[in-house]
This record gives sequence, C-alpha cells and structure tokens, in this order.
Amino acid sequence: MARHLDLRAACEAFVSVAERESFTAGAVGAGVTQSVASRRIAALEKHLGARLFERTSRRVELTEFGRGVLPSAIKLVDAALELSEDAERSHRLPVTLGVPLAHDPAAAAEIAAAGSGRSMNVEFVPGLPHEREAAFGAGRLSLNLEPVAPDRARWAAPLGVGSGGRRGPDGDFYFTELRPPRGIRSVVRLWLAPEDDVPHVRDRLELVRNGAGLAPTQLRPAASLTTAMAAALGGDDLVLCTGAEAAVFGLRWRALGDLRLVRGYALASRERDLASRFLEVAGPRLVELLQSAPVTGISTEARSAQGGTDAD
Amino acid sequence: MQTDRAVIRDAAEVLRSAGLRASIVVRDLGSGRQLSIAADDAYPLASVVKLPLALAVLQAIDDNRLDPAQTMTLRPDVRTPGLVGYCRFQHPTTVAVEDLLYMAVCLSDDTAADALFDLCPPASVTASLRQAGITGITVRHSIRELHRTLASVLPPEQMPQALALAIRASTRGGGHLIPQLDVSSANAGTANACVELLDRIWRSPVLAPQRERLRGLLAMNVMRQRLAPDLESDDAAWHSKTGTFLHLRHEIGVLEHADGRAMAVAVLSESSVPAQRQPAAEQALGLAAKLLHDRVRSAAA
Repeated sequence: MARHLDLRAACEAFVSVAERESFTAGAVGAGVTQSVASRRIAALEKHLGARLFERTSRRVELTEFGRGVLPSAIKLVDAALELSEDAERSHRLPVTLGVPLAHDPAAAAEIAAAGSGRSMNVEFVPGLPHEREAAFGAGRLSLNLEPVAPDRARWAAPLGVGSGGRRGPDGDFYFTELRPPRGIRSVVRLWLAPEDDVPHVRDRLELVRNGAGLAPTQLRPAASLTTAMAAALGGDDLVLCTGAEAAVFGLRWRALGDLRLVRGYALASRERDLASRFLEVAGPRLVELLQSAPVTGISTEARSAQGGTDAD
Repeated sequence: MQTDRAVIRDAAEVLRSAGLRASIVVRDLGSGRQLSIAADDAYPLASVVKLPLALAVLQAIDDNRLDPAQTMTLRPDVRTPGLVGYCRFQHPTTVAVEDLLYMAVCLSDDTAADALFDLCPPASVTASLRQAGITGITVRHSIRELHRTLASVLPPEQMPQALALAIRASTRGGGHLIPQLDVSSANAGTANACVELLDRIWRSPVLAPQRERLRGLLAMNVMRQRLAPDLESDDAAWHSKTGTFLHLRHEIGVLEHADGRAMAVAVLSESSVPAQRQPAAEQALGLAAKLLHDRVRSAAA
C-alpha cells in the first residue's frame, strides 16, 4: 500500500476527514471503513513526510502542514472526479457521419440500429460536399463520406444524363447533341446537382463542354437536386445523375459517351480505429445508403491510410 | 413595347451566357442614331488593325510616298505565322504593294500585313488615324509582335493552357501580363472608335480619295463566319474586317442595305472560355449584333 500509494483514494480520505474533523464521520463521507481511512491517511502522511492531523482525545485537528496541503488535495479530488465524468460522457458521444443530402434514409436507420447494438451511437449529418468538408475539417464530424475521384473511391456509381422527355436518341449521350443549331436561340442545358459540383466532375465536364463548342451557360450548377430534377422534368433540359436517381425521379437515363464519370465516395476519418469500427458496424448497408456499388481492387490498408490523413 | 434598354439587356444576356465580355456599337450612317454596349472599353485589336494600316498605305500611295506597283520579294524564312496566305508559301514570292493590301485585308494575311508595316510603320498608321480625327485607336506594333506571346512558343496541344493563361492574366483596368494583350502597350481601340473610323471612311470628305478602294477591300473579306451569317443577304452587302487572336474575337464593318441605308457595326470581344473554336461565341456575337442592328434600323425609320 505504502509502496503503491493510491493518491486519489488517500486524498479523498484526507479531505473527507479534514472537512468533518472526525475520522468516523470522515470515513463515512469517503465511503470506507474507519480503519481503511486511517490506513490511507497514514500512508499519505508517510508519502508526504509529515503528519496531517493532530489526534487529540476529543477531536481531530489539522496540523500546520495539513492545512498547507489541503487545497491541493481538494483540487486533486475534484480533477479526478472531472476525469471520470468526462470519460463517461465521451463514451456516450455519438459518432457523427457526414452524408450526402440524397441518401437512403432506410439504410441510415438500419446502420444506426446496428450501431446502437454495439454501443456505437451513429448520428447522420446530411450536407453539401463543401459543408461536410468544412464540418469535418473543423472537427464537428468524426467521419465523412467525401466525394473523391474514381481512383480513390471505395463506393461509386456511374453518372449519366437524365431527361424528362420520352423522345430522342437512346444509347450513349454525346455533348455535341446540345450544340444549338444556327438561328435557334433556345439552348438545352445540363444541370449539375450540388453533390456533383466538385472539381473532379465539374472540371472534366467543362473541358468536354468547351471541346464540343457549347456555350458556358449550357453547363449549370443547380442550387439543389430538386432544382436540377425540376429543370429536366419541366423542360427539355438534362440533369447529370445516377441511374438510381433517374429511376426515383421518373427520368430516362443515358450513359455518357464522351467520358466516363462516376460519383465516387471514400470514408474520411479523424481516427483510423473509428473508421474500421464503423465499417464493421455499417457493412454492406453503406452501399444502399449511397445508392452505389462497392469499388473492387482497392485494398483496405490503402483506404484506411487515406481515411486517416484526409483532413485536406 | 420594345425599348432600347430592353434590346440592349437582351443582347447583353446573349453575350454573357456565351462567356463573353464584349462591346458592340451599331450606328446608322445616315441618321447618326446609335445603340451600344460598353462602347468605350478598349481591347487589343488583333487583325482589325489591318484596316487603319490599309488606310495609311493608301494615303501614302495617294501622296506619292509609295508606289502601288513597287514589288517586294517575300522569302520563306521571314514569314509571320498564320492560317492562310503567304505563311504557307514554300518558295520566294514577288508581289506588288497594292496586292499586299488585298492579301492583308481580305485574307487577313499576317505576312502581307507585316510587309506593309515595314513600308508604313505603326507610328505613321497612328498618325494618319489622328489626322482623320480618330483618337480611340492606337497602333503600336506589327503583327509579328503578337506572335511573340506565349501562345506561339507553346506547341499546339498546349493551346488550351495558353488560352486559359491569356484569360486569367487579365489585370485590373484593362491591363494584361502579356504586353501584346495589354491595351496600354498593344494595338488597342474601342468599339466606338472603330465605328467612328468606318463612319469617316464612308462619309468624311477627308477620306473620300481612299473610300472606294477601302470599301472594295472590306467587301471582299473572305472571313465570313462571325457576323456575316446573321447580317448579309443579296439585299444587304457586308463590308468588314475580322480580328481573332487567342481569346479575342472582333469584327467591324458596314452593312449596306438595298434601300441605301448603311449601318456601321463594331463588335469587340474577349472570351472567358479556354477553347479555340467556339461556335457558341461566334453565334452569340452575330445574334447580339443583329439585335442591336435591327433595333437601330427599325426605330430610326
């Protein structure tokens, strides 16, 4: 005991006895027997190298030395209490996951249910790509499903164009189809939903748009997926989307002919350990959540290493 | 009712959606009525500069300072790069001064223009403009200077990068990191000044001696992809000079209607899209010019 002094327990006994000026009452306050309290205080006195109490017949009185160290002992007891409270709170903290606005809520609920069964409280935070990126960078999100280029994607869905009309060519879509004929003022636009308004998609589309001789306005970022879909449903415009989205909104979907584009995701995590624990819990439901397909050929190691450093 | 303002707003929207910053001036040379967008913005003029050059050369010929029949030998090793004309000739060519005018103005031949600049340097071209009362156009260098920009030292496959750099290197107040594109050190002018020049060529007694030859040269312009499709017909003869360089697309000219009305049109533009061939931009320029033209023509009637 003297060799491995439990400083916290000893200080608790010391503070409790000092407050109540009685070994009997002090021991009760510290939740131990009187002999345990006496032994701990003796060990503390030995550790500090001086007596803490004057033991007279009727009452217990602090020595000069005891009065000198009491404030520090109180602080130590308080700090220990805070430490255990914080630990408990941290255990209860939810794992916050940034997800695209357009995700499958049923899959999200299933993942949350699976998490609570394994003492992981998963909270889904939907947002635009740049919002999620900012929240993740600032530490408000512990995990983020971030849009990434195809070569880094763990989950990916091919992008194509959705159109409202039933007419027009089937098969692959080429950008030159949008080139307005001479003398016709109306232009057909391709709308970009916020989830796809990211450099590795937008920049490549702009290159193809310029190469096909289209006007800059023919590629338009939409304020929301709904706006983009409405443009396709209500007019002749097209919207860049996945086949699953086209089906949900009742649009005709065609694959891209000029270039292959995917909506790819990787899991960014502040801690590597958290990412792998989450993947264990979520499992294949993440595919449904993102309405995409898993990308094969990327090793788990490479992914988790990326996930750990992806605060850029 | 359609107002001037509404037409101008419509045309500006057409230009904006094609990714263009543009100035347009349309003037009825009979009534003087004019509509414009950003009329006093200065642009590097590119090949539009060959019109003032032709004016200065014709004046020199008429003052007996130059002999129109004087021949020059153009050697294959001193060609100014370009698309058509003498830069494609593989053997030495002998040509007369007056024929160089045809090549420079109608085919926009850069080698021919530079041969003329050797006889009639930029400073004297500017001097003849000032004499005619045009202050908004300044000629400072020959065509070959243009090709000393980064676009000419880069291989063709890197052209998009050169365009992107040309677009992004624009500095505030019309400045540019490439001197040939900086309106304070390049051949520069405003759409207003271009229309003023056309106006003087068509109507001023001072330029009467050169009028018919300049008008003939502009009528024979072979570059008809920009404004001509929207303006010309059998009843509307289009006399013009184009200018195209990197992200710059210009055309200035006079549309002579069968009823005798003549409309001067100047369109100067720079694109924000890093693509060499931009059919959408060409169409937008044509449409915007036509919108203003139709308004000026109908409202003055």
